[in-house]
Amino acid sequence: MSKAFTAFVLLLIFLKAVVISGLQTIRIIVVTGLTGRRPQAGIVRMRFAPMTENGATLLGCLISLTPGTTTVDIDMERGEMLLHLLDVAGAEEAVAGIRADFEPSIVRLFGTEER
Amino acid sequence: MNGSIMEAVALSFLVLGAASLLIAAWGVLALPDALARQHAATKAGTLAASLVTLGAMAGMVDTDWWVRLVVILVLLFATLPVSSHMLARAALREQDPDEHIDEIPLAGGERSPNARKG
Amino acid sequence: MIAAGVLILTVAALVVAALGVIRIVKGPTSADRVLALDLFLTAAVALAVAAALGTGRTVFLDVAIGLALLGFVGTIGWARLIDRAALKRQQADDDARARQGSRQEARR
Repeated sequence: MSKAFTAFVLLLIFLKAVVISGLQTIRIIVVTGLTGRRPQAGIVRMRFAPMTENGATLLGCLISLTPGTTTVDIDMERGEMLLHLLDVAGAEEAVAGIRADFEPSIVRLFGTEER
Repeated sequence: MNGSIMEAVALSFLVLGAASLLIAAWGVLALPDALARQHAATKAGTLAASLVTLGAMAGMVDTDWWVRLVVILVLLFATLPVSSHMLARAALREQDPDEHIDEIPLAGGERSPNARKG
Repeated sequence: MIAAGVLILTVAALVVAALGVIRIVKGPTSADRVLALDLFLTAAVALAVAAALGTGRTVFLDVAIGLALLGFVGTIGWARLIDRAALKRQQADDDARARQGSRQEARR
């Protein structure tokens, strides 16, 4: 697959993520606002595949637009990101989703050799 | 005939955008803490802005309009996640200045399966 | 038909601005207040698009582009300011703790 095609696929995935995450956030807001029941929010760390700084920034932006997660901090030296989740019970699922949807394309575009 | 269909599409996009903008503001008021409010403003806000822009695109089918609306859309998509990330980091440091990174749970295992083999 | 959409959008954006003012007044942290400003930005872009649709002039879209750029730079500036203030407070705390420690040493 050429790089341009990968970038195009990434764009489509991104647009899909924007719509889905927007709708899900709206659902969470409505549920919280109406019932007062609050999901347990929290912070987790996630290791990401070795990549350039530009790639990590792009991945962070994409994560900010996936359902329920926001990037809080990126640590290039440790290869880690701090994520804030609206519902911490779904942490493993969210990380698995990020790794399945976004990471392969970004590694193909910006990946570096492992140190 | 064709024009009225486009107008109906534009109207529905604009109304949906207005509704999600209102819900984003509701979330900023109702959610419990600064980091959770971040989610509301970023995600629902991005969706609202893009729906409004798409509505305007459907309402005015014209090159002058489309160029500017696409620029707005791209700018919003590129800048909202970045500013949200900066603000979330500031909020976290304001709440709890001594970060103990090692105490935060690690999700999804030590290594990403997507790492390029060296 | 678009006129109705413009009206709804305008009213919604104004309500959003009012709700944002409540969040700015209530706080409690400065990050919350800047977040409300971010919401203002989204409402302002929506208002500019509504103005363009209402008058049929593209000038208001240029205003929206300017707003989006300015809001981004503004939010980044505020975030850095909050960051630096938190860092300074932490350093002041550390200094105070160190001074207290040395005073206790001297008393012994």
